[in-house]
Amino acid sequence: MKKNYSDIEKILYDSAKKTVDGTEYKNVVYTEKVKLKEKKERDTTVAHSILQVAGVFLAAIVIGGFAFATMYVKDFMPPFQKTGTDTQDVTVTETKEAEKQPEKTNYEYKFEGLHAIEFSQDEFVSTKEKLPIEGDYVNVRKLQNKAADDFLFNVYIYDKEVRVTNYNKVKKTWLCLTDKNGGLVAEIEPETLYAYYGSLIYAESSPDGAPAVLLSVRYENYAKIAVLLHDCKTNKTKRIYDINASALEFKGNEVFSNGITLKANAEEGKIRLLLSARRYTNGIVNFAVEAADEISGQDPDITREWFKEYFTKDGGLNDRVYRVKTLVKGDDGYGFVDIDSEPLPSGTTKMLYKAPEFSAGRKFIAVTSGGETYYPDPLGRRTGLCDDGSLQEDVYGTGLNYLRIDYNDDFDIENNVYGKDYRIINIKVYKTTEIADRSPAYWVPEPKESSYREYGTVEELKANLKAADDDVYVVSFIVSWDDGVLKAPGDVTYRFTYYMYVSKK
Amino acid sequence: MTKQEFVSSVSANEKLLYIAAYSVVRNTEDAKDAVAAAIAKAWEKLDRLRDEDRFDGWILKITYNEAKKMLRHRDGQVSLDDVKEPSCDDGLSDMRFFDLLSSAKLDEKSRRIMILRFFYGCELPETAKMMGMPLSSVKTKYYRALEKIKKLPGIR
Repeated sequence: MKKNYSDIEKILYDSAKKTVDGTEYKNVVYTEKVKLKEKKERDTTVAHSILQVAGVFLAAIVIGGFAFATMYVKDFMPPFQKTGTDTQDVTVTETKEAEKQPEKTNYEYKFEGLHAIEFSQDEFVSTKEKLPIEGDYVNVRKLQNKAADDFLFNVYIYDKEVRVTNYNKVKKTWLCLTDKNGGLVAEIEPETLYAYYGSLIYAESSPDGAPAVLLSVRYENYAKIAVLLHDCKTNKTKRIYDINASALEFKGNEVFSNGITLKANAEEGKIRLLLSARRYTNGIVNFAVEAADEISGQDPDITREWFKEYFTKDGGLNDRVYRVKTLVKGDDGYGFVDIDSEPLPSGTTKMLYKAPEFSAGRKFIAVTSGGETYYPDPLGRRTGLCDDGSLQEDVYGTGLNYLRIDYNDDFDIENNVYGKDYRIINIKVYKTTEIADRSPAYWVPEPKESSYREYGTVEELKANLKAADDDVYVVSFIVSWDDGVLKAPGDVTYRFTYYMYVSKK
Repeated sequence: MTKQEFVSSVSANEKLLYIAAYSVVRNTEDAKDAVAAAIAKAWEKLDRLRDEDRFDGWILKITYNEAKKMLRHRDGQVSLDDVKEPSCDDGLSDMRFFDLLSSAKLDEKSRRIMILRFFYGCELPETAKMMGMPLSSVKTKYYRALEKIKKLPGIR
């Protein structure tokens, strides 16, 4: 049963209000006191970028590639996908330094000559193939770069003996890069390698001036993931960023296969991080991909746009057949993507990504008024049926992003999803002048329940707004494009809520 | 964001930033200094803020960090969790809100969530946006915090 905290909230509201009211504070206008340095006028259209679907699928590939090494991705290129626009800065913290010097500020890594590599698979190499490294090594595998033509190096992973005491030796996994002529570029030791994860960037020049290799790894039984920076000049490796799996804060019983994918922007000399994770909850394998394009500090704060999607596996754990319909967000809007798979005779699974059912260049709904068209952002709610019959709910999206719309008689809300009708679940309207407790200005406007008007159709809403008094109205519009039926475990439904201020003044 | 817009946004927030800083340092002058340092830093780092809708949450976080830094300078290495019960000077007349957060031993993120919720009046989705956190995480922290506060002796 959901607990009621309204009494505690009231105590907190009251005490916060007392604090504010009781604080004698004349604005000191610190902005003058601190003498803000004049800067060049900032670009006010700074990228408000949305993580590209390409990035997400890279993360998905990392997950898939890691957990199911034989899977591969094929035939997916949604029409709204854009590539090569990674223009985000990323700030990372020198972890060990930060532990010793808590006040050390983050610093930005800037590189020159970036070459990013994502690997689709690895293959065993003949034991006769010689690597330019010292000592005996076995189980040599060569990682296959997905963009082999663009990459200047070969990457090998192998087992090599390491002396752990005076008498004992153990085999540990190493990694090395060679140039096309077989010359050694970098050999990365197991102490820092942990387990190699699948994305790597070579920088011709790092902030220290030397060539460097950056790679993402996992360690502590997959509980942590890290980014390593290997200095090719000194042949030393250091951890520059790490994160606990739990930092992703998924709900559920178990979170595993977490990873960081590195993405390089050669033009900007910057590196972006994508976070990914997978979870297993209540008997259903939910594939979750979450990504962030800026992460800073030891206490990972994801301060930028998020992309989140959930894949729900249909079928048993071992048959490796997946049927997924998932919502993806592109630069211009949303779209559904069907993801399917088919088992191959070899026992592996081919993942098929089908084109979206409709162009995600469109927004889900369009609101028109006065010749203007508005595209409100939705708050999404995904409900899944678990094996035990319980429901699991996830909320995602841009949240309470109230769009302001000037009302005109041609006001309309249109379904903007091609070929699919929406189902109206609820429309609520209330006057902002009927919102209780609007002062002081920073309190949450809580509408009185009695002020709601509810409608079942857009036509009712339009008729009511047309006849309504001059005021500013809050409209919440809840719709779905599925039938809302949850029959079997793994079934999911989506609801989308749109909020808008409609001004008749 | 232009300088004028920055000044305007900061001015609107200054009192709340001061209260937040005070809740950490428990001293009027240090709180003012922390706010001043935070504003200077925010201006310096402004081009790292790409979503201006998150300005309030972002500058609140900077203020918290500056206040903690001030505390470390003053008292040596002290984590926010170690902040003891207040020895209120004449800075704030009513510290019950922060006393409750301290007594409930909330972590820093939870404290910021509570401040955004109860001082800035943000709904949880808005708070999540400002914190740059998933809504589910904010909800979890928020309700855990309420539960902890509810269990405090003499809360009612």
